[in-house]
Amino acid sequence: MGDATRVLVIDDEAPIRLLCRVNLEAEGMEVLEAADGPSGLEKARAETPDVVLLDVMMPGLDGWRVAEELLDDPSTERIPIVFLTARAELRDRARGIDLGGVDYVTKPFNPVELAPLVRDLLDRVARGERDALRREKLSELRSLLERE
Amino acid sequence: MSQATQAVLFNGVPLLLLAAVYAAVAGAILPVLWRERRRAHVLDWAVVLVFPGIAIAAGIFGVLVLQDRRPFGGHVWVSLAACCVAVAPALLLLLRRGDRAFVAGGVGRSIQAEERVSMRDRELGAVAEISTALSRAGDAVGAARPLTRHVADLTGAGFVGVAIVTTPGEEAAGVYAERDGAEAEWWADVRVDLRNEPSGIASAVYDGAPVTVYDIASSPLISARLAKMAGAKSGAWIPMIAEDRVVGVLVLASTVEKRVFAPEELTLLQGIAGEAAIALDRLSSAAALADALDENRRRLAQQSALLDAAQVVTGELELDLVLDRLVEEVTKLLDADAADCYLLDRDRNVLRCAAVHGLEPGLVGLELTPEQLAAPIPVGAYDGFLRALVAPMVRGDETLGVIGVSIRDTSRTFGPNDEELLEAFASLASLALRNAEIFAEHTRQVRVQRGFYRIASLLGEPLSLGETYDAAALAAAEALGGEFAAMLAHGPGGLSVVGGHALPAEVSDLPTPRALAEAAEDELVLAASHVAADDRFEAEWRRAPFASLLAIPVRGQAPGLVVVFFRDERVFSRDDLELAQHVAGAARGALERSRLFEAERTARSLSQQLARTGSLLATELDPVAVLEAVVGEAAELLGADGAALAALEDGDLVITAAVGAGAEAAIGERSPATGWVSGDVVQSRAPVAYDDTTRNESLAGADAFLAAGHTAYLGVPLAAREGALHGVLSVYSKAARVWREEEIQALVALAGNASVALTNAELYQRVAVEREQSVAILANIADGIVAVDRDGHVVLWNRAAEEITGVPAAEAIGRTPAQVLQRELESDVGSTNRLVAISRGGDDVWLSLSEAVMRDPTGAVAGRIFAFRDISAEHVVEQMKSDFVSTVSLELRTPLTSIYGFAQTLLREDVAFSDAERRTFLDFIARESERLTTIVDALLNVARLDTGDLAVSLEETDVAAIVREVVATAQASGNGHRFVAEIPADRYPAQADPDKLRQVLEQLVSNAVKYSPEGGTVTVSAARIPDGIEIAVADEGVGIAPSERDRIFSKFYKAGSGPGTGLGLFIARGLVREMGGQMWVESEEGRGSRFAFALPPVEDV
Repeated sequence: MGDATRVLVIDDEAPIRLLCRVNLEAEGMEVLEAADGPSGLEKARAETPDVVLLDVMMPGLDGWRVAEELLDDPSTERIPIVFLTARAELRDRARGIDLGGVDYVTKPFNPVELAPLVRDLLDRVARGERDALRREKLSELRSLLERE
Repeated sequence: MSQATQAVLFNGVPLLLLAAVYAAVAGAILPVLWRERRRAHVLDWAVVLVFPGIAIAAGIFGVLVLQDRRPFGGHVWVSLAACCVAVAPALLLLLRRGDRAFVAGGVGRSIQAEERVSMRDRELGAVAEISTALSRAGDAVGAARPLTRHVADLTGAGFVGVAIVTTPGEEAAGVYAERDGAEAEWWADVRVDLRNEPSGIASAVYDGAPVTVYDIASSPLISARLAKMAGAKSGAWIPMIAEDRVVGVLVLASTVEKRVFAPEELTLLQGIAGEAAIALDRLSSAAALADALDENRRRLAQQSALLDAAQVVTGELELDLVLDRLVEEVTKLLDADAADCYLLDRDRNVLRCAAVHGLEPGLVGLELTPEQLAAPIPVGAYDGFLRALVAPMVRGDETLGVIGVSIRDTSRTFGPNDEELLEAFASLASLALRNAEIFAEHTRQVRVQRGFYRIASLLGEPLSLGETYDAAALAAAEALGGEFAAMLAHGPGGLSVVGGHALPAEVSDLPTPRALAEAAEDELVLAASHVAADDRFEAEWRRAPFASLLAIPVRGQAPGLVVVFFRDERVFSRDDLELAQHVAGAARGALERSRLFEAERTARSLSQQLARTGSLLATELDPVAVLEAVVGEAAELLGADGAALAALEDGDLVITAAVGAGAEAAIGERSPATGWVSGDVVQSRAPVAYDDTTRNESLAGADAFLAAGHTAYLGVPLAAREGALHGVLSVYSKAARVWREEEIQALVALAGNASVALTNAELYQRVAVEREQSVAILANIADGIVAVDRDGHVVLWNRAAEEITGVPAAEAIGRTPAQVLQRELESDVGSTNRLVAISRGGDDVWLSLSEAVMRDPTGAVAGRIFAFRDISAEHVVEQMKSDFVSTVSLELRTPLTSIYGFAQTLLREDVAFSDAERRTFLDFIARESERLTTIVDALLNVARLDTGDLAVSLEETDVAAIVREVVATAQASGNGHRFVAEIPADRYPAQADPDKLRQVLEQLVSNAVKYSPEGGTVTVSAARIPDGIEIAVADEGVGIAPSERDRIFSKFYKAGSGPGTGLGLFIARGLVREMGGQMWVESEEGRGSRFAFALPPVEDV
């Protein structure tokens, strides 16, 4: 299936990469994997996936830096980034959206919901609502922060 | 060809052609002339009518030739030539048809041009005439008359007038006007209010430009009254401007019918008006100048006459002479026949004749009341005079009298100038009179002063009291002609001789008789002309070598008596007694002065000494030394023989310091506060003075000093702080002496100084003690204390501050905290317990800082005190705890994500996983659960280490085996590192818990792998050392910075932001310690680290 959605998962934890793979493939998506930042960047540039699921806490090049580089590179800047983060602080999530990510998933997460999330997200990005999406997430976070 | 044919061809046809050409020219020119017929001259018609005339004539001749068929005039060729010549002018005109108007109106235009030239000539002529007339004019009317006439001629205006601006911006006045060739006389009385009345004149003045009005009757800008008087229909007003000022207005009006003033006319009129303006301006300046010159000349004459009179009058000083001169001079000045001067007797309100000139001298002394003045003067002397002029002589508000002049001459009258002159002279006269009065008063005073000068000069010089006494005696003797004189004054022993002049010893040694004492007391002059027989005197006095005496009391603060002795008998006149009184008065003044001088000198010397004492005391800070200085200074100040200071202690007086005879014995003596002489001072709290204690039996030996032979006593209270009494300062003198007021005051002042000095010294002692205490406290306090002054400069930097900041006090004092610590300590809000980070040798030091602001009495900031303590340790722990919470959460979330995720995946019903897949998922769930357990275990270990509940079971353990095991496991994980086990010996038995040892080693190996991301060799070694077994794990990784080496074993400390709980090394070291060993680290940044620990050997090996 040539037009299957291609998802690049960058995470240093093998079990989590596998989780993503199994569940996304079950929904007919194609999954690429990278175990650290540098190889993730390389893959993103080589394969130009439709979406990147990016872990934040990685040794060496961390997720923030990877996101920055992806967004700086004209060949990858259009790829929507979803942060996979174990950090519970709202500020960290806000930082991800601030950097240019379109969404975040907090660990632990239900992998069954990944595929619908990716699909929905890509639909909206295709409709040109990428920035609207980010604004929504930011205001959601802001109201959460205020409640805190 | 026949002649007939020739005639037709060469004469008839050319003639007709000629007629046609001329007719055409006439046809072109005639309509033009018809259009211009109004301006055309009759000669223009003559010229133009030539063309039709020639046309008709030529036509007739042509027809005749055609009829007759004969050559015109019989000559075919001559006639043809004439035709050809005749046609040329007409052809030229036809060729230049465009310019035909020249032919049509040429004459008319040339005449008009001529007329214009002659008009200009006339105008210029008129202007020249006007200029000439103006330059000749002697006054404004003289200038206006030719102007109006010429302007009327030039313009044909029925009314022409000239108005000049009399007050710029406010009023203008008519000068001269003509109507229909005759002068309009009413115009000279015309006044125009420029500010408030609308008028053509005002408009022209304000606009500075010509104003014209076609229909005056309907114009609101025009003054109706002037228009009516002038009978104006249309008008023009031309401003006359000289040097940018409108000096007047040239007014023109048509009186017959309305007319327009053409621009050329206005331009011409403006030119004329300009000329006239300059002339008028010149005339008005000249007139004003002439007036001023006349006035000046008149005033000058008056002034010089007055000046002459003044010189004559003021040359005299005697009143009578002055009066005579006054009447004489005023007669001359006013060219009168007679003059008189009356002076006012203010008290009786009558005028008394003081001087006359040209009148009967008998008039002098005549008195007139105001009532008599009002009526004709009732004295025959004034008969025959026709006119009189009188002026008051006034000085300030006071009338001195009157001065008057009279004339017999019928032809002479008094005018305003005469009044003015007389008034001026009268004021001059009053000045002269005043001078004469002053002179008279002065003369009288000089006479009186001369009389006293001698006495004054005698008494004026000497300043000391003794000398003054002598001088008073001398002055009295000289004034009254006595042989010698004595001065007596009250002293401690009553009235006694204190000075004299040529006084024989036998007289001065005589006891003072009662009569003299009484005279002094009653302040009465005592005169004894015959002492020998005078029973008021004792026998010694009657035998004394003088016959008469005069005793004159001298009043004043210390009353005395001047006694003048006469060898010969002398009867005293009333004048003698009066002179004696004067001498007494003068003597009193001199004595008072001298006494003041003496008192002042004493006071000055005392105050100088006091000042010296004050500064001496002020520099003394030891209370005991102050006491000694006080008594020493007190004795010296008053020239006393002894001094003592008795302090009030528990109701007793105790001598605390003393100088003089008996001083040593006196010190330390004690008496009830009511005892001694000093007790009186305590009771009265005021100075107590005894000139001579021996006179008072109750005082004999009243204290140690009096017992030691001192006679005179002076004691003053010595104040302590807040109005309490410190004690008594006493001075003693061996001889009896009078304590003068200024001496008492000086001792009081000294006591004041002493009390201040004592208080100061005590305060200083207390402050010194307190300061030492404070310094000791500040030095030993654990908190850093820093004080800054109002400028923010450090004045205090205690030992704790030195330790906490690492800056020695010597370096900090005098600089600001910002300079010392590279940051401000001050806060705007002045909050307490702020958290502030400073840098100490490259490390951050966290301070808990409190701040207090010191304010001076005005509320301004006088300084600040900062107290701080080093809470870096607490701060770091807080930071670590916070990091730990997020780290633990992260560490727990990662395995939980896998477990939860795979469980959810397995629960999917839409996907059928293979058995192998299921197995993999379950494997992950199991492995991650284990990881979770490990983390929880680590946390538990930490808790146990913290509480000391961690149990180790020590047994003999072979370290080598466990090292090999750990290395093998690590190698099996195969993550790109090379693992080497360096174990020289076979076995390394140590006292250890094998599980815990394994845990420690695994932790160290895991760290080694984690911190050498580039790979490399991890060497695990074991070696025997003197007191046990050393086990080490070395890597070739990033190494550890020196500043971090101490902290890596801390709980929750993590290098970098990677995963991990930050507990590994903490637990490892804790476990090693529990097993009785030590752990340390050696590292070089960038080259690797070596973690080593020692375990105790097995005891029985």
